[in-house]
Amino acid sequence: MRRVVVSGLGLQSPIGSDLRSVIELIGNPRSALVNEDFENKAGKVRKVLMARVPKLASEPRRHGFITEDRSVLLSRSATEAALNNANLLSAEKVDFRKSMSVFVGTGVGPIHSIEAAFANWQLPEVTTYPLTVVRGLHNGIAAEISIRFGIQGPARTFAMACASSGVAIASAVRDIRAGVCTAAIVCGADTPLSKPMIDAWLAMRVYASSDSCVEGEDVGCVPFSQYRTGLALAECAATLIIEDLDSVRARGHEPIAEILGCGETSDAAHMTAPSRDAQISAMRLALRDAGIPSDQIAYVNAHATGTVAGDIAEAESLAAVFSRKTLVSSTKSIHGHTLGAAGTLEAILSIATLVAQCAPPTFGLKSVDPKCDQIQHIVGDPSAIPPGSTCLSNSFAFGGHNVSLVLRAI
Amino acid sequence: MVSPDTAIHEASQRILELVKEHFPAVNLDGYQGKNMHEIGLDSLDMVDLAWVVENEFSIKFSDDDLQKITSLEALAKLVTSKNDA
Repeated sequence: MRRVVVSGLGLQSPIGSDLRSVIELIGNPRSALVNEDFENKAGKVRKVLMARVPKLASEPRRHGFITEDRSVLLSRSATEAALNNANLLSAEKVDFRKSMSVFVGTGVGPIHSIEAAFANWQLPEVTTYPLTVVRGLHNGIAAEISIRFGIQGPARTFAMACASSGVAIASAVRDIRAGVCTAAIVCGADTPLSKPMIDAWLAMRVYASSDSCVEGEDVGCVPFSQYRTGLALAECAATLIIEDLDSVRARGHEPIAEILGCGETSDAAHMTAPSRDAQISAMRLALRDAGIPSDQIAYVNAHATGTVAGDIAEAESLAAVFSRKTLVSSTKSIHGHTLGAAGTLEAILSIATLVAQCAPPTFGLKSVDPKCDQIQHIVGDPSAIPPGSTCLSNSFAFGGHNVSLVLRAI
Repeated sequence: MVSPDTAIHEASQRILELVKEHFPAVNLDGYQGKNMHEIGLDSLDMVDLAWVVENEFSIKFSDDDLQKITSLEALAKLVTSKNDA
C-alpha cells in the first residue's frame, strides 16, 4: 500500500503561521483566547472569550459587504504558505500542481457573506449585491484554491461541522492510496466570529463563561476541568500538503510526518449528544488502518472542547481504547474551537508534538473532572515523548460525525 | 450650471476612486483608451462595479446600459447622462 505523508503545512491561526511557531508554543504553552466586549442584538454588552487571526493586509469592504469572504482570505493565505513549505509554489511546479486534488473542510463556510446578504436585505437604500450567490457558496474556498494555484484535479468540500477537515484528510489519504492522485491540498477553515454566530453559540448555553469565578482555578474554556464552563470560538485556516511518499522522495523533498491510519464513523443517534461506541469505533478503525496496537500511541490530541457532555464522553471513549500509558490533552484552551478547521489545525499540533518530541498540556487544567479522570492527562508542563512516537488526533462533530487520525514523525 | 465636461470629469474622478478602493488589483496606468478587459476587469467584475457605481451615484443601470460600459470613460459618460436625466 502506498505510504501517505505530510510534505508541507501552513496556517492562518491565532497561534501562528508556521510549524516553528506551533512548536515554540507547545514548549511554552499559553492561550490565545482573550475576553472581548460582545454586544448582542438587544444592545447588552458582555465579555466573551474568543481567539482571532491577526489582521490580514487587505480586507476591503463595501456597503456592508466583505469583498471576499474571510474564510476564503485565510484559506488562500494558509494554502500559499503550505505549498511554499512543500516546495510546490514555484513556477516550475505548475504541471505538478495541475495534477493535485483539493480537499476542503469547513463547518459554517462563508458565514460572513451570508450574514452580509441578510444585513443587505434590511437596507432598502442599497440594492442587492450581485455577487451574493457567488460569495455565499460553500465551495468558495475549494474553488479559490483551485483557481489561484492552478489545481486541475477534483476540488471537493466536506461540510461535517467540527469533523470537516479531519474527514477531508482521511478522504485525501484514501485517494492517494488508491492512486487517484499523488498529492493533495487539504485545507480546514472556519471564521465563526460574527455577532449572530457568537450569539447563537451563547444561546445554546455551551459557551465558556467570563463571569464565573473559582479561587485558584481557570473557569473559562478548560477541557476536562472540574470547573470548566464551556467552549470558546476561534477563527483559523490550516492547510496540509499530503503526498505519496515515493512522489515526495522522487522530487527530492523531505516529508514532515506520515499519516498511518484513519477511522471514520457516525453516531446514528442524536444531533448533539455524543456516542461513546461510535467514537471508540473510529479510534479502533484508525489504529487497525495504521496496523498498530493502542499501546503504541504515545499521545492523543483529544477533540474535547470544554463542554460537559463532550468531554466526559470522549474521556470514557479514550479509556476504553487506551491505558494510562498514553498521554492525553486537548489544545482547545490554547487556540479555541476552530470548528471545521479543527481537524487540520490539530493535525498540525500533533505533527509539532512529534517533531518536538514534546506533548502540550491541556492549558489551564488543574482540577480534573472526576468523570474525566480515567485517562492520563497532561497537566501543567508539557510532557516529553520518545523519538519516533506515534500519536492520534480526534475530531468529533454535531451530527455524530467522528474521525480519528494516526500520525508519526518521519 | 456645471458644464458637461466638468460633470464627466468629476464622475470620472469618483469612479477611479471606487475602482482603486474595490478592485485594488486593477492597473489604472494609462486607463484612458483602454477597454475594461485591458485594465483587468472581467464580466463578473463589471457586474460588481456596476452595483458599486449604482449605489454610489443613486442611479440604476438597465441591461442595455451595461452593454455600453466598455471602458471607464464610457462609464463616466453614462453616469453623467443618468444624473442629468
